[in-house]
Amino acid sequence: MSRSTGTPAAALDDKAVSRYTLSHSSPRAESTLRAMRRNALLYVLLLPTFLFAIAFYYYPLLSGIYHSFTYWDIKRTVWVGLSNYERFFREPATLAAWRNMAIIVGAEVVITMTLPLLGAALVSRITHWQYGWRVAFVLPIVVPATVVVFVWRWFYGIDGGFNYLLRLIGQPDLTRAWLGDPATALWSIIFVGFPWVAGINFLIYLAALQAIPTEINDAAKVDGCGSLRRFFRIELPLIRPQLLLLVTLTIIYYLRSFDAPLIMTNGGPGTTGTLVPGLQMYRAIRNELDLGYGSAIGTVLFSTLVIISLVSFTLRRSQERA
Amino acid sequence: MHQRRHWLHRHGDQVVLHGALALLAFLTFVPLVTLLSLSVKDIYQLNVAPMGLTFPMRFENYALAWKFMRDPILHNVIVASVATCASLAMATLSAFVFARFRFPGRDGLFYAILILLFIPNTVLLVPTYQLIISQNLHNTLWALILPYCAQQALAIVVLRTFLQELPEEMFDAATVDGASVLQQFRHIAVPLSLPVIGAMAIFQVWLIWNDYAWPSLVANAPQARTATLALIIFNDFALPEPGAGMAAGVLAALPMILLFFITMRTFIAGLTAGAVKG
Repeated sequence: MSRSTGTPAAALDDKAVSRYTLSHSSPRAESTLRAMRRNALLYVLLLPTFLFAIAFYYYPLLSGIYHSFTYWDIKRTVWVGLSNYERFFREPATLAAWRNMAIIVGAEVVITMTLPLLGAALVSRITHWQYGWRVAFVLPIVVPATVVVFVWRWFYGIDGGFNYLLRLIGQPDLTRAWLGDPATALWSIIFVGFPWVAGINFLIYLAALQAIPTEINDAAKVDGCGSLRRFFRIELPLIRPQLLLLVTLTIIYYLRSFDAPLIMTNGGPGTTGTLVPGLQMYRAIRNELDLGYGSAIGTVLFSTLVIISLVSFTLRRSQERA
Repeated sequence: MHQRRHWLHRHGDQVVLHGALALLAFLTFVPLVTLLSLSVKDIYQLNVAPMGLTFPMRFENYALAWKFMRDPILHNVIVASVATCASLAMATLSAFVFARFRFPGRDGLFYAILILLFIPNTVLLVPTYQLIISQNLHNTLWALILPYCAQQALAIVVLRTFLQELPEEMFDAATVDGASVLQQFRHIAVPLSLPVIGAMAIFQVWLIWNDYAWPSLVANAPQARTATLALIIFNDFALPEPGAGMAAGVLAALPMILLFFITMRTFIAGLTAGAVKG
């Protein structure tokens, strides 16, 4: 993918002239209009893709931005200027929601950079049954996230697995309603999926580690470089692009994700215990049918995502040049 | 004895590695194994010994859960297969056109698709919801199928790269033989890219099976709800015996686990390729 995004259009065109089969005559010899008519079939073939893209991406995007300035339910649209945004930024819950989100994003970034990488580094050093370990750590990804969240919800319950284990080891004082206690609810949600090895991140790290030429590692081994040193001096610098990419993707994902709070706590305990902006948006639709307000939250989230993507893109560019 | 020490000396690292991985795998699988064991407990067994096995196993939990989960799982199978087939058919065709032909506006159109990769569906939740409601599609399977059909950007980008790298001679020979654009597509492009199409299809099925927020907005009613949604509704509103609720969780995950074991290599390839979408 990086190949197709990174190449300037001009370079693509040069390659295209020599490569593509249907361009019999030089494109300059005929007008654009004639070229378009001659290739009419190709546009027809692209049409289904673009109809869906317009209906479910471009139209909703523009409609969402426009309606964020309106009062919007299913029947009416009334222009209200910035008042949806004002309401969003004035609401005390918003601050708490962004704080919760920041904690989740921060924790998930640390998680992404450590345990899946550790798992991948361990598996890449295995000489026998490597495929077996790989399958073992992919299998849990296959289980739908909702099912995983559902099991963990049971573990956190008053009569759930954690309290049972605590009583079993003679620590009944530590038992609590993990998701009902403001002190533990947010961290309990972050803890879901421990030890966080099995995930797509693991697969990306593993692919990156296995792409390192074996000669490099063999040479280091001959020089007496230990496994740990090899990891920090050779492998880690070489997989830095993947690490940066995964950190970006993690930030973008948890900025908007709200499935776990929705299923486990519905934003509680209290009004803001585990509330996140995505869930505020969901509630604006689900509970209030205030689509204008929901659109404003969606637009704020979208703008934040665009800014973060641009910053990360620029950072990665300058890293590549350095 | 000497032999044994020699072996340990040479393979000591590997033993440690396997040990560390075994520990990680154990911790990873505890919740899933617990789900399995809870799903065959009655309420008494569940309160006394929630962790570990209890006998007799109450397989009747599954009969109860199946009654509630059968239709939702069927909905998921229909939605996932229709949406995946349709979106992959459109995506493969578009990728073929983008990869093998030159026409005015091609690059601009391609970038218009590429940029969709960076628009997460979540931020479009509200307007898409309004669109579905205004077309009276909510609580029908179309409310799920149509938006999922639109998820083509990733497949187009991946397939375009793949098709671009195919040797030109294959297509040249076909052109000389007078094969039309669609014949080239059907007889050359599709057969050659089947493994890639398969990987992208499985990733798409996985995404659809994982979705929770969107179905919970537009497909709450019994005639359209999906498996993961039904799992939560079953447990939170139907209030069954907890064991049966757990059995419903197993049933919701089972089709994906079966798919994984049938198509293991393709599944892993699809997840890896799909990771960029996040």
